[in-house]
Amino acid sequence: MASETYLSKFNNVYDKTYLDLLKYVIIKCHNINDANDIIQEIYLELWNIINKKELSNDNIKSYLIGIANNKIKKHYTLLQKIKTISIFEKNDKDIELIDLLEDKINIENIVIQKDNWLTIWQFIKSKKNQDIPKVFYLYYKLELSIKEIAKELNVSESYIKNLIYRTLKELQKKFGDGGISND
Amino acid sequence: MTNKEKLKKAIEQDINPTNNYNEIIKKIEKEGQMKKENNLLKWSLVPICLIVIISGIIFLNYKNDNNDSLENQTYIDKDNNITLNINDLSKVGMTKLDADIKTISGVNIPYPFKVNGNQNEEWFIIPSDLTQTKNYIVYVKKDKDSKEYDTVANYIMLITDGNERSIEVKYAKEQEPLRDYYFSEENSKTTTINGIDLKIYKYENSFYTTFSYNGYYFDIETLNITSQEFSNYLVSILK
Repeated sequence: MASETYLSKFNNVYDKTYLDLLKYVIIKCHNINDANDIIQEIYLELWNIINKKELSNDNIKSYLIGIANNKIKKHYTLLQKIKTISIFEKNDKDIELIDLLEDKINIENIVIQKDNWLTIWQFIKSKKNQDIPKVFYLYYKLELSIKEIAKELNVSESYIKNLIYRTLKELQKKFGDGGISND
Repeated sequence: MTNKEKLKKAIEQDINPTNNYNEIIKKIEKEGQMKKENNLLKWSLVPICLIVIISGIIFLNYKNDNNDSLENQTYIDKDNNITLNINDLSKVGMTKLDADIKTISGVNIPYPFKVNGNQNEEWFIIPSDLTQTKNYIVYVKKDKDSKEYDTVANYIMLITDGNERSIEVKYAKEQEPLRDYYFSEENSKTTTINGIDLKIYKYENSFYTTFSYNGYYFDIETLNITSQEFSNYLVSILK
């Protein structure tokens, strides 16, 4: 009976906080492929805490953010952190040019040869610059604006536009009509 | 469906709240199961530990009651004219010797003890499980050049449970029985039973004693017999 009560409370917290926490984890993590694991670790810790003490619903979100920070820190060894540091210059010279190219390449203009967007998403996630999958997640999944994403990632809007532009171009080349889709 | 919707769907498929929830619940259940198993293991260890401790105490008490009661101090029984000392041979060392002998088993041997009435071994006080008696005669060569084993060295009366407990009585008329071991008797304490002096030694799970009685020289060696059983036996034969 007691665990049913805990489960009900846990489910309630999960439903209310999942999306915000996932957004936070995706922004803060070093590799988007770790997001699922980190999210699970956070809620597992929450479950253990709920079983031990009463948590106020008022500050549950900030409480979870605190757990998330710890989990993200613990999840990465120093070596992993060094390995995943972006080598992509955030102030590339062509950023201004990209600004001028605005909307020239739209995701809807890409003609995908094999309609397999799960493969495309896996390709995006595998990019060395992990800002790319983060930006794609925030832009296409959460539908945040370029401005909002720039603020969340603490980078310039031009940088975000540049990432999207370059990646779409790459997708067009790799998966689009006439592109190579199997490498 | 637009490309944006398709990509969004692919992302949702990969990072999915329901999948994550199911994984979390699985992990919670696994943790709960592990905790249960750990608790079960922890609490099952308690009675095991108790059994080990209690068994240890009982074993030590048993050992004290049965083995060591006569070994660490001088026992004096004035009424029966007994002063008992057991010397620990593990402190003085022992040497094994090889002798050139021939042993014949299943033969009649002279009875060395004083008896009242009919000769009957059952008047000995021996542990009830020592039900088998075997007799041997040990022969040696008269001299170095002799080819025949023609001289009786001693007799052996082996009283045993047929397994690992035994009292071996070696005796001879003219000289001390042959021994296949030697140990120093220096500083060893003497036991007196009914006016007869003997020396009792202990080595690991055996007792040894040597004495003269009723015109015979005796060596008695036991295996897995307690000090109490051994002293009872000695008192019963040295009348």
